[in-house]
Amino acid sequence: METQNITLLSFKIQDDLFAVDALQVDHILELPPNITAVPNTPHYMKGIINLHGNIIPVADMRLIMDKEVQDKRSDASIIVLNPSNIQDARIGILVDVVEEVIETKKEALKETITEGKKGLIEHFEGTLVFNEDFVHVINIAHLCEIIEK
Amino acid sequence: MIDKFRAKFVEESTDNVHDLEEALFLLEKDMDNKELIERIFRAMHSLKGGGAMFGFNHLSEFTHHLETIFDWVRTNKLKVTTDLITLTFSAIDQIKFLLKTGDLSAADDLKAQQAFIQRLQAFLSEGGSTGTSAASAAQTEADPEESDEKTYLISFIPQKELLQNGTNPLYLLDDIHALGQALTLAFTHKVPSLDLIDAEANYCLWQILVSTSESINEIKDVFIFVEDECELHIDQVAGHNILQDKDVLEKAEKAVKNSTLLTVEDFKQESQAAAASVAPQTEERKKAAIKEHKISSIRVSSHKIDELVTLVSELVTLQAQLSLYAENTQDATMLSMSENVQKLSRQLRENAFDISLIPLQSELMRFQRLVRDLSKDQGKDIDFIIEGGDLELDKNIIENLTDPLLHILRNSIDHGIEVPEDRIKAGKAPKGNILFKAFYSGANVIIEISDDGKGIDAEVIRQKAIAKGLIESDAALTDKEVLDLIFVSGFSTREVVSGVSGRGVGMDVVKRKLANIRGEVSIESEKGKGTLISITLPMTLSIIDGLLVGVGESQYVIPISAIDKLYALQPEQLKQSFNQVVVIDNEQHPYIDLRKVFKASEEAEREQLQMIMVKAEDRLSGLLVDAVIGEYQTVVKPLGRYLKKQEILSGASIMGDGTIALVIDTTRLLQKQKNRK
Amino acid sequence: MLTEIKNQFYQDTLETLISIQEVLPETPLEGETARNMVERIFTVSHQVSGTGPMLGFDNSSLLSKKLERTFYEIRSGKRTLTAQLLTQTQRTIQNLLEVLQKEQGE
Repeated sequence: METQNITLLSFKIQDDLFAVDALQVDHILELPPNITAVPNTPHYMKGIINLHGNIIPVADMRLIMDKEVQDKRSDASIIVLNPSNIQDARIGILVDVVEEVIETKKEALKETITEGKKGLIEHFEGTLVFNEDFVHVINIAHLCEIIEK
Repeated sequence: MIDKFRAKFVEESTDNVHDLEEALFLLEKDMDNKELIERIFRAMHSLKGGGAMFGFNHLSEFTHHLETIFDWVRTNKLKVTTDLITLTFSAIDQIKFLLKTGDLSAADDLKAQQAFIQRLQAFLSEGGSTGTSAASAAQTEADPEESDEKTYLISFIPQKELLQNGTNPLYLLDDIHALGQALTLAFTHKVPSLDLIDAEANYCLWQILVSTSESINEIKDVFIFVEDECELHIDQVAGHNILQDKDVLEKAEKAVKNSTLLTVEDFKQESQAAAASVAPQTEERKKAAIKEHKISSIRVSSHKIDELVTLVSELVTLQAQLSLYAENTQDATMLSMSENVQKLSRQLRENAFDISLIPLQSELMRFQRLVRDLSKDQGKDIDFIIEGGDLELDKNIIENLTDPLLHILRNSIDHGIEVPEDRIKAGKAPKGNILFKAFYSGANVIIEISDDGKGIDAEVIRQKAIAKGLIESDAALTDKEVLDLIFVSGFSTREVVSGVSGRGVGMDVVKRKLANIRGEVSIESEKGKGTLISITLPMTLSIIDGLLVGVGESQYVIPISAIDKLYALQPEQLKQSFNQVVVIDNEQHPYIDLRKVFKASEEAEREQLQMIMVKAEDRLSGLLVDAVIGEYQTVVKPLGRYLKKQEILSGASIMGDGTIALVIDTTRLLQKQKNRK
Repeated sequence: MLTEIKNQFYQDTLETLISIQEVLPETPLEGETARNMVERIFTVSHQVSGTGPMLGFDNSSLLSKKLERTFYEIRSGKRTLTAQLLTQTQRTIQNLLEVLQKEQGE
């Protein structure tokens, strides 16, 4: 059987490493000075930003995962996802640090065993051991579903 | 070439048929309306004439018989009855068929066509005709070639002063040419020698021969604003088009050469001679007819329009940046230039959007037909009322809207409205009502279809949903939540529908189709009382004129179209207010504090605030804001799927400096406020 | 003072005419919108033909009188606003604009 290559983009929330499918990443942005807050939305919804004339909502990944937000972090970035099988569903996720692009094989993904709850995220695509760290791979469709609720 | 004409004819005739149907619907409600009868007769007449011209011979023959019927109606030999209207409706279907297929060749079709014609003839002979009618009917038949075109001789002799008021006589000549086939003769013999010429004076005079089906008054209207400065004679010289007649052309040429104006007498013989040779003119008449119709509009591919709209949107955004920059420079030239660009882009944008909009009306005919046909089939009596049919929507939206709407209407008729006996038993009027209502709500368009039928029994839906395994048998759902199950895929299958007293045929499909155009659908129903289905659509008018206001730290846009008045308020006035009502000039105004609505921090003391009176569906309410920043044209962008629960915001707008302001849906805001009370 | 009034009159008239021109449809409207349109054209033409001569807009006034007369007839139901009339009105308003500008010296 032919092995399937996958490309992942990893990022950090506090000290934990996570990753998403890099092919569904549209942009990586530095945290802009102003995110326009939208009133009466769930607490993790940071607001909306202007990306080349388009309105993109931004969700704070740290709040989705029930982590503390350390405001002082200057590396915070927004990863704009463009889910491949959902229409008009671009969304920015706010993370502490964007780490790197990982090329790997699908077989390298092992079943995820999470210590403790990861906030609103109920399951992961799998976990990869990379440079002796665990990288949990987030299923983008699942993430979008959570945010859309 | 002729194919192109035929295509054009089909296109135009489709409009004609459309008009015919519309008039027929109106006639059904107002059977004595002479104007409508005329309109129907005229539509049939042009179908007949055009059909013959473009080789739709069967169509022409068929319409001829129909026309005869309406000629009788028009001359009071026949009364308008429901039978007549029903017959005409089915005849229209035949016309549509003939337009689509052209002349018939299949034996079955030909037979059906003959049978139909016999039906029409039988209707005439049985119909309450008076003694003299047979003779006059024969006359109508005998003279089918009677042309509605007439040739006029126009003598237009302006005074010298004509040009002084800016009148351009060439425009007037153009307008005459637009009425039909025309031949203009220019007489220049009064032009003096060069040294005597007054550059501002007019020395020319014209004679125009025009063949048109328009009335003499229409021709007079062309000259209405110059009649003081000219001598004008308009005379009919023939009862048909004589412009192909060699004799006539020769005479015209001679007249110009000799500088002698044509007179009515010159045409006395021609008109008789030409009457004998109608045939060679038909080709010309074709051209004339087509020219007439093509002037007022052109067809453009919708793709090009989409592109135009996109470009205009970009221009508006750029223009906002320009104004901001100009303001910062405080350079007078720059400012005035930017102002001009703003004016232009506003006009451009209005134009561009106007082009891409079509009125809902264009589709409503199909709905009326559906209601009429289905209700007749099922023995139901339904009054179908349309409100807001003139509302305009983006072409793309309308295209995707038709199917879902037809579906919803069909459900209303099939499962909603009861047969008259059942209605009487239920204590209702025997005639059911379906109301189709379209209206603007903030940046949205809402279409509501309501009926006063038997409604939906939530309990039945609940049972079916349990049986289908969609919900647990002990699920605690409100009636509204239960009704929403209708939209869940897997709920509505044939089997379910036959058992359920309510609607359900593919409502999940309706929902999905509407979602494609970013539309949302919701349902309300009360058992025994009726059902309301409401569709919310985005308006394509994605650029609006808005008032930018500050609330707390954020900026919001309020559509200018919703604003009635602005008041400046002192905080003390609010402190005295009671029950969210403030008194200004002895008048009570209810208000909504946007700081509260948007949970803005209420710490900052407000020195002065503004109240913006907005209106929505007959209600007027004030919106309290901290500051009014200014008026902007702005592109409204959708908030997208993740923020769709934001009912009171219709979108977001990117300002000149790249920041974002949220756009308030005033209608929803006021509605929400009302519901809370 | 007179120049000021004249300028004001000129500006206002220009604006009104242009705004009418922008919304003047190609085909006759019906109902309330149509009545409003007729009323607007009548009012502005009435103003120009009345006030115009006083301020030196003689030719504009002459031209405007024609509009006034025609739209008076439409307004009182003696004439119907046909597509042809609309075309001619459009033309005449354009003329009027040009004549006004000429008389204002622009």
